[in-house]
Amino acid sequence: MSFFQKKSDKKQNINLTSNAAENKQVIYQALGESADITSRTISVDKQNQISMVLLYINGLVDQKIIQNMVLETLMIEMDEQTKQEVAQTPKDIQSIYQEFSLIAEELQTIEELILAILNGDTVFFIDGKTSGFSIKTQGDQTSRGVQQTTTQQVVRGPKDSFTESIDTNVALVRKRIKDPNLWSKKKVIGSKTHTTVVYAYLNGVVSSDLVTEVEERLSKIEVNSILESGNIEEFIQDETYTPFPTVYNTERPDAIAAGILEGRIAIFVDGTPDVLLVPVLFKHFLQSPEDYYQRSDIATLLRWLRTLALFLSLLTPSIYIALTTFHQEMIPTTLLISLAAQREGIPFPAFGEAVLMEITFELLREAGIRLPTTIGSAISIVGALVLGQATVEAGIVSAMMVIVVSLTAISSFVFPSYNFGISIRILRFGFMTLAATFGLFGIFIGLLLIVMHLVGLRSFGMPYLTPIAPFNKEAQTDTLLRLPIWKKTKQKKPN
Amino acid sequence: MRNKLLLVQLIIVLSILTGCWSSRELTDITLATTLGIDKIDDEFQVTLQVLNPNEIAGGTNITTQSAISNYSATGKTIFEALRQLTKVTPRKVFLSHLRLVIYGEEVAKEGIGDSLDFLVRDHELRTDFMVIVARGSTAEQLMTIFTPLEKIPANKVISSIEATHDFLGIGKLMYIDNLINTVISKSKQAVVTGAYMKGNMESGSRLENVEKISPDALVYIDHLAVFNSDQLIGWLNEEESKGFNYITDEVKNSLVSVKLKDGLLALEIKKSNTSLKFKDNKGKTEMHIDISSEISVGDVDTNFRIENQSDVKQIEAAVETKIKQLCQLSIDRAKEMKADIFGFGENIKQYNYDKWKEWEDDWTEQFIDLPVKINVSANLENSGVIKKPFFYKIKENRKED
Repeated sequence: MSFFQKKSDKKQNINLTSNAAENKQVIYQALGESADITSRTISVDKQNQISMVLLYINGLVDQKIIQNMVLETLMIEMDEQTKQEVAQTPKDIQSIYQEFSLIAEELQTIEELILAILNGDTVFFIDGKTSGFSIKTQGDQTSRGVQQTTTQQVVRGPKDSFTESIDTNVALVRKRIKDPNLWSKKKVIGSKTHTTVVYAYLNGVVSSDLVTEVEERLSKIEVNSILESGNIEEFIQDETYTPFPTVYNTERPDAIAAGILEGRIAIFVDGTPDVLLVPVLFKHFLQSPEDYYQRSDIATLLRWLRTLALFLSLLTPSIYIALTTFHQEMIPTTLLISLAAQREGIPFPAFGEAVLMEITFELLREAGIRLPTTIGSAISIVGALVLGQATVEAGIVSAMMVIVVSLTAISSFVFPSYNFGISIRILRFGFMTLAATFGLFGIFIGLLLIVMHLVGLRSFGMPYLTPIAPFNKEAQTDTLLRLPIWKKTKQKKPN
Repeated sequence: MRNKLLLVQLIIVLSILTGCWSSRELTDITLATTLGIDKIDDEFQVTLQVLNPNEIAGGTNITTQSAISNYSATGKTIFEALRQLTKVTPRKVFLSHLRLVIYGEEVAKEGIGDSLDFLVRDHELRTDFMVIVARGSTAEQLMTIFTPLEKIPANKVISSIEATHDFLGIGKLMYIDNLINTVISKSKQAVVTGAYMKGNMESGSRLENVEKISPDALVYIDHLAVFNSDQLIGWLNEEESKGFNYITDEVKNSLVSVKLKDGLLALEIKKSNTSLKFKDNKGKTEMHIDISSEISVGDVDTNFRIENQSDVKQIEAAVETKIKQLCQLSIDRAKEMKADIFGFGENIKQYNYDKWKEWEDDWTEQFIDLPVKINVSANLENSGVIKKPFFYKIKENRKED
């Protein structure tokens, strides 16, 4: 019978006693006598009558702090006089620790104490006191150091990326914005995981409505566990049934810093390097942090290239299907002849061919992501041979189809944001079906539906297609174009 | 939420219900590039040239099979004849990529009007194809010639019409929409390029024709067919065609040869602009044709040195006379055929509508009587990189020997 299950009726019954060993036993039982709980018993007085019990979880604490500060304070630094006082009165131990610059917090209930232990603090009891104390001894042994970013790589620009430690992550952003107005607020979410969630913003630049909105949405989350920022994203996003992401995530500190400077709010979640940024607009997915580090003409060109890639990745297979099965008159004669020559003897209709190849490609891509890098090259060999050569030589698919699928695949890797690429992947299959049934009409119906959907979409109250619909003339300097930075005369509101 | 699900369901059902209506796979159609129209007795005979894509673009799969095949069928209308074709063609014929329509000379003389309707009415046809007339033969005969280099004879014909038009100043790029406009117009008569074959027709229709260095049979383009309304009434020869193109401002690049000092000078026309102006001076009507050309010297086969302004003037004057001659030839021939192929009527209609109203009913007579004044100004821009002709000296040395 575990402590938490009977929480409601047993909570009041268990109280701290003045016996330290008994208190220790209560905590031990509540934690299921788990193997990683460590306890140390020290006697405070010479007569070994008053003992003190320290409790902590081995992996979570910094052993050095416990050894050098907590124990040494008690055993060596304290003179006999004080020890006697502690033993006799027992004197307020908090002040003793404070002398040695350790913060000891007095906690009254079992729950608070358990939470402190689980957070990596050290809890101790002293005979004769009916309350426990906790000392901050959190160690960071579980997290790795700041490493190079793996998902959103840039040629020019900072290469560091967020880690699993929330403190490091917030610090990485604060290092970039040394402003007293960079405010951060903490929340603990998850009734089992008690995950720390911090949201940060630039006070004065951010709109206060947005802060209230984020605060409200985060407060409303009621869930057992938060293991990754994706869990938070699902709770706070505006629309669940949309292929488009309405919350941005990145592991690049510079991208988050830039977002905060624009008046957006970053949401850090402990235990994940992916930090969220809200609100997010459609245009942000076609932009890379690098755009601001390269010269403006290059950046503008790259943005146009990404816009082109968006359409290529979304529509290439469907337009190919539509043209070759419905609108042959639109293809230039010589091209049509060469297409017809390739299609000669292919057993599938163009749609079947396209679906077959697209699915093969998606399988290969998925396999490539999960495989360890050492055998990842095996997949590319199989892919190149199966996709590229064998199917064409066997006459199963036409060479043009391989070109179409390759073009689509290359285009879909252009987006700086991985999850946006996924939305396009989903939509692509819809477009292929529409193209196979209605031809170009179907494609245009699909595009219309998507535009209608996008116009209605909101991200934390912001229309998703801002600044194109609603149109904002000033924001055009940084949408499809990226004009020199000095053109942006004043600090912007969130777009 | 329920409504959205319903919408998704409806969309899925909708696509299933339509069942890919009107879709055609590339493997189910056969591409036609040339359509020949002849008349046998009272019926139309259509000849369709379809492609075998594998032989044209099949890469390594190219065999010795013919890349094109002709199928003929007859019917009371073009549409009927085309549908009759399905009896012989292996697949459904796809007409959108038609590049060329050839009329046989006989059917052109009888009138092409009743066959034009189908060519623009049917939605499958793209109305951007060229129309030509087979001179001295039926369309079917002309279509049997294999052409080297271009595997699709239609492409050969079109690109050589374009080339002769652009670099020689003869030929006429007449597309179907333009043809129909001129056929129904009172103020202009249609002119269509004529093509004929030279050589041995029998062996020209075999694949060996393209395997030889000099093929047995070739398709030539130089004459222009003149129509009165929709009926073929005569031909313009090469010189008259040139004149026609000068007057209608169609010359992009051409050449003229003039005689100077007992020898020939070939000159390139680099640019030519023509403006038509109708003058009505108190009942004295006249058509002014102003041609201005930029020329350069291409070839000098005589002892003519281009050293000072008077030499230049001399050449320019000779060229002007020559171009004037060409135009006059063309106008005389048109008047002889009673066909306003230059669009003088169109010009009057545009700039002198009152006069046109007056002349509209008997325009052909007025056209024949209308005096035409041709004014050519040639401008020599470039005489090449050598000054003295040296071949002349070789000739003289040879005489002395």
